[in-house]
Formats: sequence, C-alpha cells, structure tokens
Amino acid sequence: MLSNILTRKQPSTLVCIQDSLEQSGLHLLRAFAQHAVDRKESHVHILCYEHPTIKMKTGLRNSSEDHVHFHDCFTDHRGWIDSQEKENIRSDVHTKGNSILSVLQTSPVTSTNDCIIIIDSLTPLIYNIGFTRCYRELHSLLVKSTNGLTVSQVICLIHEDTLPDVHVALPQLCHLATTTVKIGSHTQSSRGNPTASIIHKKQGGKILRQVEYYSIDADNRLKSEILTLVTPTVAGVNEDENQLPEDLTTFKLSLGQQEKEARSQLVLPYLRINSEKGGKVFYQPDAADDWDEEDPDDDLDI
Amino acid sequence: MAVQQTSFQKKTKSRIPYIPGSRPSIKNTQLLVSSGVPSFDCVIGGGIPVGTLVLIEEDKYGTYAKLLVRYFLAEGIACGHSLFVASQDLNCEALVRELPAPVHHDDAAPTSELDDKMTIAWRYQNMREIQSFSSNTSFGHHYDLTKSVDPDILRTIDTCYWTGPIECRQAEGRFKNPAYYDLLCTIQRKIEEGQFGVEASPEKRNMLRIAVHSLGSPLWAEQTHQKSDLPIFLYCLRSLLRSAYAACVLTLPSHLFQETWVIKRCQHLCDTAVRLESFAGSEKETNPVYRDYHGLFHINKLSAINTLMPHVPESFDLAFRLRRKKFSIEKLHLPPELQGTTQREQDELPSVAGVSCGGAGTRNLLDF
Repeated sequence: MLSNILTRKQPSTLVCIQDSLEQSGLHLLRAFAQHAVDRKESHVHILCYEHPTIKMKTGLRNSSEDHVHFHDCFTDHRGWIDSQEKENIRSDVHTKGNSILSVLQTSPVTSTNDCIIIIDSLTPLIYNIGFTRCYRELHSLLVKSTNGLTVSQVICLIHEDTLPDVHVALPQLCHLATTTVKIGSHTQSSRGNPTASIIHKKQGGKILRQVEYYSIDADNRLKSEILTLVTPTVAGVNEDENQLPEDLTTFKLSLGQQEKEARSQLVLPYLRINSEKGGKVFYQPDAADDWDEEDPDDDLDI
Repeated sequence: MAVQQTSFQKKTKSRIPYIPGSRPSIKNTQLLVSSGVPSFDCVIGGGIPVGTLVLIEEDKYGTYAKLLVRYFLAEGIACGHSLFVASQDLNCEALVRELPAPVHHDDAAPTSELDDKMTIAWRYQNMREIQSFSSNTSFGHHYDLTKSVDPDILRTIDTCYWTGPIECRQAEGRFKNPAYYDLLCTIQRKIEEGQFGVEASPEKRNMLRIAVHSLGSPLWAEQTHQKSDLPIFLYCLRSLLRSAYAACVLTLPSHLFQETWVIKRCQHLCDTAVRLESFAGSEKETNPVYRDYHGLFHINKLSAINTLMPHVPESFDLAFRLRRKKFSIEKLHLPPELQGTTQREQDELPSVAGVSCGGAGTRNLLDF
C-alpha cells in the first residue's frame, strides 16, 4: 500500500510521516520527493526547515530541473536576518517565522498548476509558530488555493519524540492527515528493513490499515512488502505435536503399507455405503405397539 | 336556576403555530422537527424538540457524524426551512451543494413482504420485524446519497454560512476565543433578522436549522486558552435557542479532546447528547458479532422538555447501519449462527493434565 500511496494510485492529500530517533523517515520522504520530481506533472516545492537545502538537493536526482523549487527555511528560520530591525527581534513581533504560507507566497512561481509540497520536518516550524498555527496553515493549504497555487498533495515529516504535547498534538495531526505513516525500527520478520504502519482514509470514508516493511535503494526507489508476522514459537510447538515420537518407544506406533490398505477396506458399523437413494423406514408391527389415534398436534392452530 | 358558568373553556385555537416539516409531540405537544434520519427521531423520542441543542460526538474519522449533519440539513431543504451552517474544517458551501436528495416513494422498491409466507418456521411469521423503530413517512425522509439535491430547490432556501471569525473581531465578555464569540453573535443576528424568535411575528413563520460541524476541533483552538470557551458557548447558544423557532445539531470531535471535563460539561449543556462509534479502522470491523452494522450508537443524554415523563427508548444497545438510501439506527442484534463452529469458548480452556494417563504434572508426548 505504501507504494500505491507513493505513486498516487491511492490519492492522498496530506501524507504525514511520523518517525522517531530510533528510525528516521527522511529516506522515505526522499523517496516521495523523488517520485514527485520524476513525474514532472506538477511543481514540487520542497521546504527545508530542518536541514540545509543542499542536503536535500544532493539526495535527489534531477533536482535542478525547472519544476523543482527549494525553499531555505533553515538558515533564517525566524526571519531575523531578513528583518534587520533589532527592536522587532526582541519583541518577537513581525518576524515571519517562516510559516508555510509566507514562504510559498513569496516564492516567484507563475504557474497556476497544482503543486506538491514537501516539508522536511514540521517540528522546527511547530517550535517557532506553535502547533495551532501550524495546524491551521496545513489546513488552509489543503482547503483554499493560496496565492494562485492549488495544492494537490502535502507530504510532511514529523518527529514524534520531539513534539511538544505529543499526546494532544499527534492525534490532531492524524485527524487532519489522509494518510499517516508511522515508521518503526526493524523487527524480526521485516528482514532488517524499517517498518511502516499505514492508516489511510479513502475518499468514501473507508479506512485502510496495514503494516509493511520497506527498503529504499540508492536511486530513492521504494520497495515495500506487507509485513507478515512470523511467530516461531507457536509453529515449533505444532510441529512437535504432529510428529510421533517413534524413537522414544518400543511399541510400533506407525502403520505399514499393508496395514493401511487393510484399514481402508474395513467397513465400519453404521457407515452409510449407498447414499444415492433417500432413506427408507422399514417397520415391522409389533404386538405390544400402543397406537395413539389422536392427533398429538390437535390443539395447535396450524 | 341560572346555569352556573364555569371558568373552564375549551381551548379552540392551538397555541402551536403550524410550520411545515414540524409536528407536535404526541406526549407533550412540544413541537418537533425531524433530524432527517427517521430511526434517529424514534430513538430520541419522535424528533428533535424545537429550541434544543443536539450534540453528536464524532466517530474517530468523522464520516458518520458528517453524514448526520448532512441528513439534518437535507431534511431542512425538503421542508423549506432556513439553514445556518458553520464549520471551520469543511467548505460549508460545498457541503450544502452536495446534500443528498430525498428518496421518493415511487422510486422505492415495492415491498413484497406479504408474499413470502414462512412454511417451516411459521411460528415466526407474526414476529415483529428486526427494525424496531418504525419509520413514519409523513415526518422525516430517507435520502439517496448518490443523488445531490436539485440546485433550483437549493436556490429557494435561505442559507447562511459561517466559516470562521473575522480577523479583527475581538472576543468580549466571558469569551476569550473570538471564534466562539463571533459564531454566537452571528447566530443571534440571524435569529433576529430572520424573525425566528418566539416574540417576533413574521408573516410566515419558518424554522431555522443550525448545524455546527466539528465544534472545538484544532482549528477552533487558541494558543493560550484551550477549551474554556466551549462550555460557555454552549450555554449561551442553548439559551438563545430556547426562545427561538430553531433547532441545532452540533458535532464535537471529542476523541481529540484530552480534557475529559470539557466533554462532560458539553454533554451537560446540551439537551440531547449521543456518541457515534464507527467500526472503520478498528478491530470491531472484522468481529462477526458486528457483521451487519457500521458502528455503535451510544446515547449519553436525552432531553426532557416540558414533561415529567421523558422518553426512554426500548433499548440502549443501539447500532447503526448505512445503506445507499437509508441510514438506520437499530437495536443491536447478534447475527444468526449459521455455520457450526468447531469450538465453543469454554472448550478452549486448557485441558487438565490430570485426565491423561500420564498422571498429573507435565504433559508427556506419549500421554493419551
């Protein structure tokens, strides 16, 4: 399912990738970004809040093409260098804080085509402008067309272990997102690959849930497979039960070929041999029979 | 002897005005409007009493709560009521544009229930139908979710939208959050302008249906003061509604609330409070017990307006089921057990080791 969401066979407007220190989701985000770049159908805006843009640029192939736009929100993440007035900085008014909307509005994009927005991590933004404002901005990106831009998809990364008020904020973010991908570290059955538990809300209101493991190669291509839980302990016990412990006894516990044949030819009592006809009741009247002439169901109103 | 005149006079003129799409309750002549779901009306005692507030706690993904709001508004269109739609999460105009159209009875498949007589299980012939809440056709409609309402009809309906507070507006009084204050003011203005108040005497009286979708969602929040305005808002709204020909349905994403006291207060400040629990995405989706249903319907509070004998539904174990032309709330029934299960629950208890011939203690492989 992860690859269906990546290739947009399952359309999703807001994909939220949750990762933690244990397992980074940056590679998955890069795979999403690479796919958006390679499709060339719409403009791709990559907002770098957490890393310098160069890190994302070098990680992606064909990143210098025209339809790919990088926005550096990292070096001047509170807008202090830009504003220059020290008064503003101290009182914290008028600093843009590099909110998603202000970044996108200042970007010189003439095309009115739909665009894909990739945010390398929401966490610094939440630190700067607060969760409520961040939530509102994400929502307004999805609902309204901002400054001539119509957003067809937003893909964002969030570190759940660094989020303030995580037990409040994370469910709210999942409420807004159409797809939530929670990255987990590798388990026994994922063959060393990171796992992703996906909750996807379909257009009609149906919910898809799946746990998959994925791998991303050097070209940022994603391979994902459904995680099947292997429970070795249970399987082991079953095998033991089915095997007869022949070497433990002096008895003969198994059957030979002849013995099996003999067993199959044995007609068991009460075995129905010819079942092609319906049943028949053979009754021989007996002298001691006590016939009841009355209808036993007489009192019923049939 | 002069006939003594009594002070008793037969009330000839009803004090209840006739408004299309409403009917007086048979129990206390309280004026009712339909919620748009006939079985929902039955569960809460015939319909939504005019002047009251219905709280619907949303299911986790909000699908069915939104649907109930749509039915409520669609019923308003079918009856020609005025609509007031408020939401910060949804595009209200699109919501109204895509409201479902009512199912006409000619469209509905003719019922051939009389034909199939039971030959073997004839004893069950006279049993009541499973659907325990009969639908009265004159009040409330069923809606076809695949058809949108006719735009020509929609144009004749007085509709009002609220999608968020005006930026410059400041909250006043007890309110700290401008969103709640602004919505309250807008509703008050609407009631005054549209002459929906009890005191007003318009030429033709009409009903106002107020639907507030996802009240208190993260978009309503302010950074500093989180949810303290929500109960005040409900309190004020309820008192506004009491003196108006209006009914309000609001949905609350209570699963996103960390503060349980807010939910309790909200339930307390509404007249009817119900909660939807959808099976979508939960383990109950695959549970065979709930095979026939899409979710559970919990009643938290029922209104007791103008009565000493409030309505009590037959059962509180309710579930809902959605079909294309019908959303129904039913008594929760277990499905018939058709295939013989190999094991019953009590058989799964681990067999006692003492039964085997190996004696008590650890089970040996050779035990039988």
